Amino acid sequence: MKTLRKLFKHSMLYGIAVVMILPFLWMLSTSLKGPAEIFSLPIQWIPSSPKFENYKIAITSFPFIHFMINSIVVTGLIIIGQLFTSVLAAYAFARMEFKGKNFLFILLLSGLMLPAQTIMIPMILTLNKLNLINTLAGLIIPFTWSTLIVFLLRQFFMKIPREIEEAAMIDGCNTFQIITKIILPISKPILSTAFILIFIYGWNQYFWPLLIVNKEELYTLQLGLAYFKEVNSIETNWGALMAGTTLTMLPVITVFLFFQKKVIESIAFSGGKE
Amino acid sequence: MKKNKLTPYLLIAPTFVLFTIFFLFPLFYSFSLTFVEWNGFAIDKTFVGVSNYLRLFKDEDFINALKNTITYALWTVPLSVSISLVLSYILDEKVKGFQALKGIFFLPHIVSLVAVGVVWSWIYLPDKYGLLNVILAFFGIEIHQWLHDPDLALISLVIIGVWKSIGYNMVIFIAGLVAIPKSLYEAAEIDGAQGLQRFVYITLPMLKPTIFFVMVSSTIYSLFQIFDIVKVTTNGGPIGRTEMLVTYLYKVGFTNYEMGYASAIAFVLFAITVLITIVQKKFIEEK
Repeated sequence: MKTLRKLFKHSMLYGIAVVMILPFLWMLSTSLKGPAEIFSLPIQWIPSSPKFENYKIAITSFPFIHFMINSIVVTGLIIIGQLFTSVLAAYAFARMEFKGKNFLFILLLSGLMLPAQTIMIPMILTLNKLNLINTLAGLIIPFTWSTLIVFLLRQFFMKIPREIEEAAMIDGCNTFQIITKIILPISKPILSTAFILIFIYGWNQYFWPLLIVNKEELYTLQLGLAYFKEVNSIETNWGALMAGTTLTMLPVITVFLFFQKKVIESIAFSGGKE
Repeated sequence: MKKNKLTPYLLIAPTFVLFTIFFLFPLFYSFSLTFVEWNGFAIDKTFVGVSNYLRLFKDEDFINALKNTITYALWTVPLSVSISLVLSYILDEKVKGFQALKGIFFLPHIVSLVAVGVVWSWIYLPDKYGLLNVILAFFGIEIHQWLHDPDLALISLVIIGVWKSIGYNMVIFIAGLVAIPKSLYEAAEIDGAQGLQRFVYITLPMLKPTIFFVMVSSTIYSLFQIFDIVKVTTNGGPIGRTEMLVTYLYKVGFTNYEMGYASAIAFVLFAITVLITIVQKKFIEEK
């Protein structure tokens, strides 16, 4: 009875795991196949000899490298921006007393669960007024703040013993020095959590970039990939399309492979907010 | 100790300046736009009172989008929650390859919705070469058109949504399961409670707040994450069967340039989100 239950349990787990990973394997397999193998029955999961031609086609027939550079620049600056603004705000909310503190914090939290589409029209009008439409800055500046990151950092800062800072204050350190010399070095675990969260968020963004830029040279990878699929839609070169998709996923998956535990913890932690 | 009274305000200033310009102001602006008729370019906006809201009731496309959105959520959320609940219950650390399995289940959650949409379009290919059709043919099931079939398109999106969200929900459930005191299970064992009974009488009641949290957040999440997937796969078709509130709103705003009416739709979306959040708060406070 017990072994039967165990067998059932395991076959269910492994069975569903296969279903979950199948789309990724299918993508990878297609991306390495020649045109004849892509449409062959029965299905050939492992290409007879892996061909990297699809990757070459994706990169040369389409400015994938350029899109990737845009994505790296945009995501990188969003990470720096969000960390900068959030560290400062989180420190104030965790450590200082000031008028309106609670009200401002609750006000900030109100932004957590709102669908982006609710404010898309006035947002575009605002960006237009600020001359940020169709600029790289427009893909970055509006996203350099984050309620979630302020919240996560604040929780962590509140747990740091006050004595550490008091000693520094007596030594004559100002607030900025306390943050950079004392708080930040001991906050590495939460900063790496924040880094991972912002990286995945920034890299995968599609909706806002779609509205903010329509010049091809400003496309990020996600926009580029969607566009690549669209221009391909009459007679799709699935091999090249899957190669492009693999390239688009690669950075996030790489981070995940190396820091799996940390990534899962970070995302679960950010979802458990109250 | 003396401290400059301005310091805390200077520290929160960067966040709040951006928050005001790129969130608070647009939110209020959006509300004011729901009372006007405007194409986004003209200098003058025409005040039309609540007629944008009244129009919603007569707009068949809007009602269709609302219906699709609700149907999508009603399928995706319970399916994903129940599958991930069962999986998290049976996936314990004694299972071989625990970390790898957890990673595999979680992988779909971290990749972009655009990439997911492209890969699934390939899996759903509507001829005999499509992977899903090949697998089903193995079981003697005929070829389906999936995303191109008006009767199957929405359910095809549901499958993507479930696949994408199982891992995340699972991780939240695992955290909730760990928090259940072992002594409860031991006591149940003495009383003779076995596998399924343990699950029904101990796990489910103890996990109720977590289940509720997951249901609410995945409902809200499914409201707007569906935009990217629909845009990449069906763009609302075939014959409007996968048109969602978010994609319809986008079309009214940026294809038809009806900013006032689009804002009214945006506020319906806003109201739904707020309503769900309030229900969640009420429930948690009761606990």
